[in-house]
Amino acid sequence: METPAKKGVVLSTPVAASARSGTGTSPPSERDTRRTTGSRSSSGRSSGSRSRGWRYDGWLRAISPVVLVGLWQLLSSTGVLPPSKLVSPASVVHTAYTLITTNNPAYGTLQYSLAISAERWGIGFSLGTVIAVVLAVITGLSRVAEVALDPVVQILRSIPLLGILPLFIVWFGIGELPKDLIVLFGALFPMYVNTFAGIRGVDPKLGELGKVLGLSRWELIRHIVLPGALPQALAGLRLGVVSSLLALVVGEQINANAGLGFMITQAESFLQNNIIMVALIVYAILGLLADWIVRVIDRKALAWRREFAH
Amino acid sequence: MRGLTRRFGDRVVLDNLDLDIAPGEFVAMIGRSGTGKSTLLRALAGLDADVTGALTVPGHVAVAFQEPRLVPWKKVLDNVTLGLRTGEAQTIARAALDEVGLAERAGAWPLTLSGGEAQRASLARALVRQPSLLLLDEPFSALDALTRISMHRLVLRLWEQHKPAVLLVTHDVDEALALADRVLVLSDGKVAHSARVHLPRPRDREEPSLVALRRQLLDELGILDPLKPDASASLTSVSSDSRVSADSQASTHSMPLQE
Repeated sequence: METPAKKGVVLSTPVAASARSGTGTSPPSERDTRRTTGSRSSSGRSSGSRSRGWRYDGWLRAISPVVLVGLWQLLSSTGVLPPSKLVSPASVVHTAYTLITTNNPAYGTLQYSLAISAERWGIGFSLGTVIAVVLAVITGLSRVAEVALDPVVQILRSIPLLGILPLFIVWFGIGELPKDLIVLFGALFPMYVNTFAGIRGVDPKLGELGKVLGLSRWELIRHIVLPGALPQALAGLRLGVVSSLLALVVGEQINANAGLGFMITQAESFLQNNIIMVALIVYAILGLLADWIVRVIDRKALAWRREFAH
Repeated sequence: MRGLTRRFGDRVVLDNLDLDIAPGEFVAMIGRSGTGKSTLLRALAGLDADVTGALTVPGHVAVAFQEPRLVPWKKVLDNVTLGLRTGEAQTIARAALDEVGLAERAGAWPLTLSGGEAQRASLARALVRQPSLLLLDEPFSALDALTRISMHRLVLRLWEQHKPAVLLVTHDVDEALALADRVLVLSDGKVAHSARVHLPRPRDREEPSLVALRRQLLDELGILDPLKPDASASLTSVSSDSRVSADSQASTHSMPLQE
């Protein structure tokens, strides 16, 4: 079984990777080597010296992206970078403004398209995550279930998700279903793999403790197994966000009649690179937002770990 | 227990062991590493399914392990109440934490506790069920020497207060002698030697009978006292059950007593 960390490297989009990588979560094995600057806390929880360091560090991190954007604008303004290849940042901002304020007959306003895409993603992602957790709990807790179900899941996981889209369309038509399904599977596999690993990775010494304390099977699951699996499961959740968003982008570009992907395909036919840029940036923002939400959950749910990482 | 036997493949770790522990008795078990001390304790704790023989324990059995084994995502108080099914679990737990001196740490996360504090919480958790048998599996071996001394005092205080039968597995002969009514030496899967200590507690390390007993036990374990080269020849046993002869251990006695 490939390690979850490897999967993350494969699936992260370039835009997501250039975003602030000051992650609040690292896999449990990296906990000890995490530097203080690596653990961010925008809530007021951090100790005095840590928050001072964070603020200072945060401003510095904004410098290189700003410089890059400035460079980009310079190249576009001087004509070195022709608008046919890449539009200037100023043009992107202008286009965004236009898209927000005007109601295009094909795809409506930007926020309308965004809402459609977000809803599509939301449905697929939540369903996929829930199914993944249920499956992982079943196979994680029962060797019989693992032997029966896990091989099937692993085989399905190996099939290239994005390549299977045409098949979905043949089976389920050109409506919403294939798009929701592909997002669902995009979320499901990372979540399943990591949750399963988390459940199996719970310290057996704690299992012994539960036995000695006379915990019932249900109490053991509730107090020891599930909370113990949580750090790894949340890592899977973050990977699921990335993976499902990628699936969304591709799914939306085929036979779509609404949403950001449709906006992109329309823009492609009219060679409107600026609109494509705006749509991609909106996707990126969606991803960052979802990732941020997971990090907040992570910080709250894993407060007991955070204290250790002073 | 009667006829307790445990094999790991070809290796017989516990060989038809018979042992009685009286209610409220403090028994310490020492032995070289790998002699099955922990295996015996785990069998008593119900953690070993492959052990054969008859085992009778009236009432609850509580265990404190070498690592505190506190559930890291539960606060200290919730750790102590874990598995308690009475309605007043919280009150009982707080009282137990107070007894071990952790009353003000009830709301702390386990990972913020020091080694000694965590082990104290583990003891509180063990005692909260009013066990009739308390099993201690080298609970202080991971602590520094000073903390260990205060933990000894704590264990004695708790034992005198609640009077469970105690089986302490330790590799530290001095610890065994300081705390126990009876010291057992486990060797080759059997109780090779049993010595009663009748001295009142707290015990003085320098007490002559204790010093003599210490030398004798070390000899039983196959370790020559460096101060007296011919110690093995000059000692006779006080009271022994099936005693393993010193010759069989002669070849290994040059190693120091290890973890």
